[in-house]
Amino acid sequence: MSIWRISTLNDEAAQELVELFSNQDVRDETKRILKILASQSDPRKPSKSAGLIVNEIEHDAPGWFRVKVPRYAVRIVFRLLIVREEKIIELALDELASENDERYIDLTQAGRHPDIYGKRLRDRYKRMKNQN
Amino acid sequence: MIMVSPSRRVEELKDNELESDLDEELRERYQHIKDEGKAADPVEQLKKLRESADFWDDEFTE
Repeated sequence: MSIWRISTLNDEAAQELVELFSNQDVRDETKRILKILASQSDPRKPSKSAGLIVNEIEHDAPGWFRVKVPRYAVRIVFRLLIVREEKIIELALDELASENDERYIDLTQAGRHPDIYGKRLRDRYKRMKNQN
Repeated sequence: MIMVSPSRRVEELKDNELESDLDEELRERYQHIKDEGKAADPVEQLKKLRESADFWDDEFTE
């Protein structure tokens, strides 16, 4: 059962995911990975048995994370959002969601390796941080 | 008359090419989200967050 819900607050990220999903095989595999990710108590630190490759993007987007879809060289960048008292809060690195929070894995960028890294990611990170 | 630079035109053509490759149904459903929650105020953002999650819930339970 999913603990977290997948969201795409950023329209560009939604569009990128839709583009990836135009290939049925990529769609199936990416969905499989994201479903596992959403079932973790802390998607930033999935259990070893989940078999996911998740890391923080330390330089270009601190506090955001990337999960790999190795079979298709797909990389999905995400952040964790919670809704507490009707307010959206981006979870800080050392912060955990509490039981009453609505929990979202908000996908912020999706694409193929290595295209998603670098300036494009930095620009979006800056833009989205400024919106908060 | 509005002039469009050649590089801009190439960019737009590439975008159109990408668009035409998209799954029709997904694109329609995505467009719905895009239209529903464009505003940046907190209430609209929250609405958009939940709507996008509803959309992906449906997509993931297909």
